[in-house]
Amino acid sequence: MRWANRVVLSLALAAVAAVPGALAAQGAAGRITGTVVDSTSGQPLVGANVVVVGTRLGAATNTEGKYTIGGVPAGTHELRFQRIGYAPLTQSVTVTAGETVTANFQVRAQSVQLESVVSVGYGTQSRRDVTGSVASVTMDALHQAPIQTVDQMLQGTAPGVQVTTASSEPGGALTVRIRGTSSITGNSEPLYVIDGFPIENDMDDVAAGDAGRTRTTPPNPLETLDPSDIESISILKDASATAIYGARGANGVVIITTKQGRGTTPKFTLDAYTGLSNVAKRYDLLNAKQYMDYANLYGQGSSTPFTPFPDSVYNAIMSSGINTDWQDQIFQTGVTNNLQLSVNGATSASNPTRYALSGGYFDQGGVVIGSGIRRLSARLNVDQSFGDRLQFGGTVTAAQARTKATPTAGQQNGNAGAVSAALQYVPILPVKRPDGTFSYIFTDLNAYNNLLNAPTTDNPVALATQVLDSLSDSRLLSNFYGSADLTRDLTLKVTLGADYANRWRNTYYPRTTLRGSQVNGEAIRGAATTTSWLNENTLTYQHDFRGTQDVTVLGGYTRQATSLDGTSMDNTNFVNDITGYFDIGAGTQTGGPSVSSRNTSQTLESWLSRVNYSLLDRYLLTLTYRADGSSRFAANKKWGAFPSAAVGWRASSEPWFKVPDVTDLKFRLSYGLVGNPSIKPYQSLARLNNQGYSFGGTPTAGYYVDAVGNPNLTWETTRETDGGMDLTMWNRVTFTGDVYNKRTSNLLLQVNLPFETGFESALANVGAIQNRGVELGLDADLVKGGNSNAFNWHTNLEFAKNRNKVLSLGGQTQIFADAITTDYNLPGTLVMVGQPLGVFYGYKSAGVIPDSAAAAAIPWKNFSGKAFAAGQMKILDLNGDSVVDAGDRTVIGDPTPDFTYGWTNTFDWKGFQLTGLLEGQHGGKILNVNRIRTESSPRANISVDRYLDAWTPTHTNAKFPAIGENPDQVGPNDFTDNLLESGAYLRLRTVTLSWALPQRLIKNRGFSNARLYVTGTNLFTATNYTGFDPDVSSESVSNLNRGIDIGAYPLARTFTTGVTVNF
Amino acid sequence: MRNPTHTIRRAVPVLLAGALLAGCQDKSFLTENPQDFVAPTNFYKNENDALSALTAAYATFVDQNSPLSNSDYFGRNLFMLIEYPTEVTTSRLSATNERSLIGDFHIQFSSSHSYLQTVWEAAYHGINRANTVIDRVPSIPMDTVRRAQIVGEAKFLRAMHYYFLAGLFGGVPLKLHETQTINGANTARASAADTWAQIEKDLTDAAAVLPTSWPAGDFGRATKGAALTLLGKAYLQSASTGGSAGDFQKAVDAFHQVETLGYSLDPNYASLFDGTNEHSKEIIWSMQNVEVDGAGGYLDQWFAPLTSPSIYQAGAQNQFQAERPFYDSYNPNDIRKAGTWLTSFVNDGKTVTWSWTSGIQSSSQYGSTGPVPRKYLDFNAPSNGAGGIDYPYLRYADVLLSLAEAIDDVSGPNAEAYSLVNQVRARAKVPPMTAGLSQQVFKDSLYVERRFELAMEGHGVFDMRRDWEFAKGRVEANMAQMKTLNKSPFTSSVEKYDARPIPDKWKLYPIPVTACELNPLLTQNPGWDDGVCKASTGQ
Repeated sequence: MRWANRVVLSLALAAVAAVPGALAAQGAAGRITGTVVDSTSGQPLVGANVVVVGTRLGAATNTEGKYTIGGVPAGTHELRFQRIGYAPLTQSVTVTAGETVTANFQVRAQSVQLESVVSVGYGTQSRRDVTGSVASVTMDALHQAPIQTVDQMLQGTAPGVQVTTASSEPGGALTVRIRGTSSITGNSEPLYVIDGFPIENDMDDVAAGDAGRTRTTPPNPLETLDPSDIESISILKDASATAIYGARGANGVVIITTKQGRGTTPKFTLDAYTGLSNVAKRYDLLNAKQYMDYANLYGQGSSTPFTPFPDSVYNAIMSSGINTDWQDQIFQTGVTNNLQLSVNGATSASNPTRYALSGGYFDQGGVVIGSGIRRLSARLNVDQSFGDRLQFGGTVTAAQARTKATPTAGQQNGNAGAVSAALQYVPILPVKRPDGTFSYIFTDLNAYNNLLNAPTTDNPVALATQVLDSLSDSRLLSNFYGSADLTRDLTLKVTLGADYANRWRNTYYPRTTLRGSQVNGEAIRGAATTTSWLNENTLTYQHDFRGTQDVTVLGGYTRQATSLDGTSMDNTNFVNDITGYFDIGAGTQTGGPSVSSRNTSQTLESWLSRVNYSLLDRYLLTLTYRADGSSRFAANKKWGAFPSAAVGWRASSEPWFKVPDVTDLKFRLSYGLVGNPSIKPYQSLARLNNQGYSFGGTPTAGYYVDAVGNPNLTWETTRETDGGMDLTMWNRVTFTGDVYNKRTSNLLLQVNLPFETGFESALANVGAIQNRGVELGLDADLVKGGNSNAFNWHTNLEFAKNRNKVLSLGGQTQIFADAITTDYNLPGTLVMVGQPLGVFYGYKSAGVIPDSAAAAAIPWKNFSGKAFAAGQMKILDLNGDSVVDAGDRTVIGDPTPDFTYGWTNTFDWKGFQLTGLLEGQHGGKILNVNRIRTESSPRANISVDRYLDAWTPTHTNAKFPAIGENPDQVGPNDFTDNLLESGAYLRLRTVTLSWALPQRLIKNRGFSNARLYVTGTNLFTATNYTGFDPDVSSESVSNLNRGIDIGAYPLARTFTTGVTVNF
Repeated sequence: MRNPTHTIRRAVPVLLAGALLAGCQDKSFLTENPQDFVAPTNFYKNENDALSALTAAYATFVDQNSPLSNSDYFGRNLFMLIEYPTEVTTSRLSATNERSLIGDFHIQFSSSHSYLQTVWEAAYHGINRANTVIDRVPSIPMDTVRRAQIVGEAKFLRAMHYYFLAGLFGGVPLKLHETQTINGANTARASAADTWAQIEKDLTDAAAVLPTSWPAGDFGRATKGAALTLLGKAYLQSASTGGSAGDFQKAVDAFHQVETLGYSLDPNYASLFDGTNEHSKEIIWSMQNVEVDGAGGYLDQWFAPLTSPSIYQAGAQNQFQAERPFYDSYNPNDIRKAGTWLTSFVNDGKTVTWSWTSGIQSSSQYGSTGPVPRKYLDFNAPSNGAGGIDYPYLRYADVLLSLAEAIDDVSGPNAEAYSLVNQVRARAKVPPMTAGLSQQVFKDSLYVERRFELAMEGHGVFDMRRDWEFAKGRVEANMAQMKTLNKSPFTSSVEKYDARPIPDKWKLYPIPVTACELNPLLTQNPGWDDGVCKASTGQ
């Protein structure tokens, strides 16, 4: 296998290397020179490339927008201008030997994506020649609004990319799904490649521990990257595009390119903004009076009637004035400050040193007190040319992000975070008792009447202000390269890079918190260091055969080795809280502190190749082949082969194609095989466990094989077909459409083994999932003015629909995800053959029974085996056994949206620009677990709706059942579709108004450009969802248990003002 | 400016060298070498590793790591399957309790009984651990004598698991190598003859390499005597349940060899089971228990009388009691009665005594109203699963009685046979057996003698199946008698002892249905068809 790969590649490379000899001999030469200016502003354009089509000749423009190309053979040439963010332009020039001919370009800024150069992995390609499904986001689009992390940028900007917020807290994780979820147990996040370096980004791996809390969403692994450093992002979606990343391509690939040096004189940019955030939406909960009224009604409606707040108590509380709005207590106005200074340029025109240097500071305060993040980052990109054939360069990025991970989001009861606790704490409790200690609902509410059965949830203010939970991410990412043009057509590039990422998390629960008070303070420290080395060696051959054929052949060999080393420790019983986690050894835990450590390493070795072939500018072919050898694959399956092929046909270039309105029309078709290396290191190996026995009364240690190895464990395999078209009309409207069918097999699941093996189960490759979908993108200059003061209107519309279906589970028919909460033991989402991944499973209800006649008409019994009564929720008996029981549960909802969309509009007029992104989703259910508390018993606070719209004999057309025990009439560990809500929403995600100061105001002050802007984020959301935010998946970043809201951190509405200055 | 061509001439080799250097193949680049856990790749390297693997194979008997629990095998479920069916002991629970189903030959007992699965699973778990030793140790560089002994010990353990499986279920799938992959995991049942032949082979191999004794600190390891004793028992069991009659003589030969190894009956019967005499000359092989959670015995909890407060931290459950007709049938002088059953003990400084009519907690489901097993009770056990008293499974009295039985099967009772039985009876302080019995009556008498001598030691249903018609009749008669005594010792059920005839399908237990669901090749035993396992083929 390996040898075969190498032989094939060697032959291909040898063939490629032999070609240059056949190049046409050169005749006498002339020069081309000229200036490139922006047609709108009239400003010279720096760093633009002008190339002679069909040759390697070309030059970049200097600060005056001037370029000169020497050594151009005499004759007529096509001269092409290219620069990201501008429409390419081609013109003919005739060069006479020994003469200089002038060719000026007037170019226009253009965000129509089709006309840019895009990163395709191990190289770039002209957008118009791309045969796979590749979306790209340019820096112009990226910097219209302040953005905190890279993955946020993907939201609403590219069809087929679904970004879901796992936690809105500063530094919180997002989940990104490209073309749906295609794994059950594996990582489904796309592969991120930053400046050519593939980043290990498995969010399931809570490397530095969870601070002793269950099910907290892990922090965002991309938070160390400053978005302002980014030049462009490419999103590789179909298998043809991602196959160059082989075994890591199945979830899509996001290629991030940071800013490079260009031009000659230094260009400084200062970007500063400040923002204020507030909670966008709150729960409407009862005040003290309403709460006590509700509690008394509830007491009367209970099987053991009681009055928790008799008149004397009621009046005393009312006159005490205690009426705590717990949401007020924990929410705050969060302040965000960002400052970035960068400089880029080049030293000289001939053998330039190009550089881009930046430093950034970012500080975001959360909308919940106690939460926040601060990031410091620095980056240097350097390239040095030695003549025009040799280049060395490198990138170094260093960043540290410190997150205050104080428990704000989280579950209920003992695991509650401040948000969930604030929804539960009742308004009749003060924040602090008269003696200065924090109130505690379990003791303080039960003191009124212990039939209230208050939960063991800690005080929200204590959680937010007392717990020390600090998380630090440091990352040093560096990648160096050397590149040599061995011949005119053949380039060798060797890179060596290292990614060093360190994360630690230190937590202390002092005595002022419930948890700390129970163990006299608890300190937890966790640390993990990941180091990854990368070496890549590629040979690229590119040749244009006299304008009729264009061939690019890439061959390469890469190696990556990654190791992780982690430790954690936990201690309790501190003499006092003074030293917190800093002196963890001071704790005197019985039996000593608990400590653990772990270590894993993994390696990846790959051969890769790609051929791009273009014939007559209209028949396009891309072939890709990558062989990945991964240590994570089992002994018999170390190597996997990932081929793909794609064809494109530019119909508009056919001689017979005579549709004047159509500027460009291209059809694409691709098929490929890619993998998801969901296996974690060592998972294919057998594992020993110890079990002792005694001989002659002496205990003796023993080791046995506890988990059987699977020497055939391998990657999850995705086969994907994609058909697409790209259409450009009138040079101003671009339409892109794709349909795809993605089938993933070899899913990694635990399968049961015959008992005779000595084992119960083992990890194996079984099962299959399908994702099918449609993606549409429309990009248009609706109004295009002729000059800089004219009115321009640019619009971009994205639409994506993905249908997910579980095809097989290797013989099993269904698998339940882990219980949704540790507090309620609710069954998790269900994976069932024939259904989408992770559907909700529970009882169906049919509204509140209005009166006794309607109740009597229900022939079946309720969950308690009794007849239904008026005021109860009607639960359906689906299996017809005349009683509501566990057999009546069914699939009641799917968290995956039917379709998602995004609409960006940009208006320009006289230096003013107004741009806004509307995005949303249709369909998709959310399980709002918070409502279990806010709509049932007065052990926690209750929503106003629940109280006012409850069934009573006089209010029979009610949304909610009568106030009393178990209103839904199902068992305690189940739920009905009442808890499911529509996750559909339409949101004005961002709107930005900016003003580019006129040149006359800034020119004499040393500025070249200055821009002031004000941005509003999340100003408006249309949704029926009753929780903080329908874009939520608070339970998990994994593939199951999505669309669940348990004490999720609320969405922030942010106003930002900023300035960008170039000088 | 430097000539670019010159520069490139120097730079390119550097780049190429870098690329080639990286491309140099070291074959181990993709090999996984875990460091933070023990894996086969970093284990089985030396004598310590070999001994550790062997220890874990022994530990199957006390293991409580998932998927096993210490009640799955000899800690309860295997023991219940073996002991409940005889007339010696009862579960004392209501008729439809899953435990009662076993001793009552209940119509509801089926292949889905959970104990069948746990015993099946635990035995194969133990077999796999033994296979690991047998497969891996021979290539470990170490002292060759000790190495052969380690493999011999593992073969003894493997044979014992197969002995239990064959005695309970008949022929079973023969797994003779460690499971190293999940492919091809399904194996069909071997014939009973092949299964017994494998047991014979393992024990013969083991007997050839094992020493006759170990130093005190290694007590509990398999010895030559243990291998030969189990071999003799296997021949006897096989020959008596449809196997080759020639095996009776092989049994005689094996037991005769054991006689030469220096074992003797201990004058103090009770001391063999109370922790005071665990290394007696009578003990050939015993399961080793220490008062350490996870390495101790679990039967205590199921034997111990229910008192308030419980004598055990987590509460005794007392699910074994003497059956009254059997209890009443002891010779009054028989020292084995007091050595086997408990009717009083000291708790919190007070002596607690009970009888058939005055239960300690008769209102409780677990109330003890009759004598409970005395054997293995450890009143100092720190917790459940940490009983410190060894379970003697192979002891010399069994050898003497089994040899007598084998001689009887070969040639009818001769003087040697009577002498063997009477050695055992003399130690028990009961009169000698009178000579002149027929071959069958002698065999029947041995069945009865074994009940008194070996009660609660894990031999019951095996003995029953060797003398099926007699034993069946005796158990049925006992049940009829129990029915008339239905007030005691059990608390709840009249239906329980319904004196129902015992169907002959009970000559074998059914293959657990869950095993068939996972391995479709398995066939069911006669009379136990369940619609899932393939129909019986008369194994």
